Amino acid sequence: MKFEAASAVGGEYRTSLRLEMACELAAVRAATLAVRNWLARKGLPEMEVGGWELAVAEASNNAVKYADARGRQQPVTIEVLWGEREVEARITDHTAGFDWPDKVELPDVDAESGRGLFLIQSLTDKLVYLRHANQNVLILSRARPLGVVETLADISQLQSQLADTEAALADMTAELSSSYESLVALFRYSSELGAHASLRDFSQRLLKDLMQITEADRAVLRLVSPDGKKLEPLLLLPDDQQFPLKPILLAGAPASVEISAARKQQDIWFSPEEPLAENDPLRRAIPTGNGICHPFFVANQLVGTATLARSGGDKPFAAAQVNLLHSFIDFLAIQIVNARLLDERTSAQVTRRELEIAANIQHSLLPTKIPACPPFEMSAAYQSALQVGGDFYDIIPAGDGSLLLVIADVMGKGVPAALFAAVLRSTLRSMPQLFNQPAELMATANRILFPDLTRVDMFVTALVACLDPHRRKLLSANAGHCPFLVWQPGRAQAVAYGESGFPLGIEPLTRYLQTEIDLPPGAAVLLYTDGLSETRNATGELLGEEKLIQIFTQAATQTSDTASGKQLLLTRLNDFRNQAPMTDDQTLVFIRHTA
Amino acid sequence: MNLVTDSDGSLRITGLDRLSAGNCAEFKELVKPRLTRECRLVELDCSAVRFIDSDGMGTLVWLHKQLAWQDGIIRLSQPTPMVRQLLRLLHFDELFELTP
Repeated sequence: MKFEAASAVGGEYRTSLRLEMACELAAVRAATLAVRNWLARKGLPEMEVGGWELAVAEASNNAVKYADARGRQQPVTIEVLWGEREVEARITDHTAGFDWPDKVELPDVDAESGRGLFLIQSLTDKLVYLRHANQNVLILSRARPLGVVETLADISQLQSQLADTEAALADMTAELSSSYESLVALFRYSSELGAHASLRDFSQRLLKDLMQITEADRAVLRLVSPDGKKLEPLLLLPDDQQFPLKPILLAGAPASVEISAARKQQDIWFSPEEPLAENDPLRRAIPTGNGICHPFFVANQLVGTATLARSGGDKPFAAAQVNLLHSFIDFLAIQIVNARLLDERTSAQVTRRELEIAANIQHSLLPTKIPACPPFEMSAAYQSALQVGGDFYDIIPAGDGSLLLVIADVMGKGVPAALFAAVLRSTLRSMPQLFNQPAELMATANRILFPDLTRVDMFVTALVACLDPHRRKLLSANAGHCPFLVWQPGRAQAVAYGESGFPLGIEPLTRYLQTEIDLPPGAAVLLYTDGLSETRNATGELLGEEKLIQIFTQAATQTSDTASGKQLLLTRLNDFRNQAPMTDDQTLVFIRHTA
Repeated sequence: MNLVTDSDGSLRITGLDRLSAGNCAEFKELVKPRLTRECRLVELDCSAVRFIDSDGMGTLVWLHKQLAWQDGIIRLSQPTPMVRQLLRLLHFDELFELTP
């Protein structure tokens, strides 16, 4: 053990003891005894001496116990400073260090360990724990009891002491001024948050100031990607450099000091003696020099890493500069998280507003009144699922007393689907001369809409039918839509009709078949969208076309007017769904020959 | 350090001058074989104990737990003011029996 005593070491302290002990528990006893004896010789009361002996022993034990193999090769240093009003001890260890808890509490009474920090804190008045690259310093101090004052040798020593005190005061004033400037800077950033065009601009401003204050000449800021898998580069300063950094996977890159810092959740230092690994991606930005990589977190979630470096010279960052790095970057972390939360909220609001607009368009397309077409009677229903889909139906009077019935489903959701439904409705309405030729009407509509639908990669399924009250027939054409169901008196079950061609928007020159059905008195027809046949219950079971035919047959045979028939059909669908949420829009048109 | 086992299984420990990180493993090794099933009391003469650290206190807790299985107690006799103050600080004066 090296032992050294000195006097007039400067500042407030006049004499000191410095020990270097081997990093092993067996050496702690001799070192603490040396501290005890030195303090006792100074005239400190026995209880005070005992307290210091214990505090230094606890700190030294920790320095030994938590050192790794490399740390154990280096001595633990103990310095004791005898001041005018207080005693100070500094214990320098070579462990990985730890975050000193804000509040140290005693463990349960039956715990066999965990009381060391509590004892250290209880036995001292003031405690500072400084973490550095390869060593940490624990500074303990405690006021000396009154009456323990050494005799000053002469007036000149007193003057020297006064000068030292003034110098110390000047240092403290400078440090206070620096802290004040940092505080003011942080307040200024807070007020400037909204003034910067982007988070990147704001981060750049803050990082530049931090570099200036800490005398750094390189800075790299990386943020965790939205999927949480990568560290993506946001900034490399000075910004006149080319940007040589690429995203790095959090699960990979063992050579990356940024990944190591993020995983270990602690600062990692590098220097000319302990440089970045050859294959560390950071080396492209900082080939050499001193630096520190600081991972930053909000609510225990990694937000990113900030690296500051001095590429020239070998002067490491001082503890006060590291504290500044922590303050600035932790402040930035909160701003980053706030900005992200704001983005998410704004995006959710936009989506909600978009759905409202789509719903408004959708409802504006539906007929407000169903035209009369004796001897046929009609009812229609449109039920929207949670998300607005592209269903719509239309009933348009033709000049000759017949009606054009349209039911369609635009592929997709939201505003685009609603807009295409509107376009299809207008296109069909613009060709009344083709209302009694549904196949030709459908083919023409397809030719008109094809370029627009193809451009946005969408398509539409549609059924158009001309209800002719004079000939009591239904002429229809089907573009990839569900068939329509027809029940005729005397039949046990309804039948599905309507051979389907391509949906609109698939083939520009496609042709459609035209189906003609007789509708004798009492006959009922159902036009519907796939939201009906694809109704699912809570267990995921699909209704299917066969069951829909059964339900429609019941509605056709058990009711005489279409309002009751429609209601019975919807009730049966709801019964089948059994509280399960609707997953798609449901649209239907129920037609009955009432004569 | 001297260890004396009485005819009723009680263990008396005298001559201990410190209990700390440096010697608590050795202390446990010496004491453990003496903690027989009959042992209901361990009396530790603290008059010569000049120094106990948190590891030493942890060792006393270990001893307490060994004895608790068999309803035994620990008596710390004649603790020095320093040791007594430390026991009070860690609330161990409620866990152990102290005699002047």
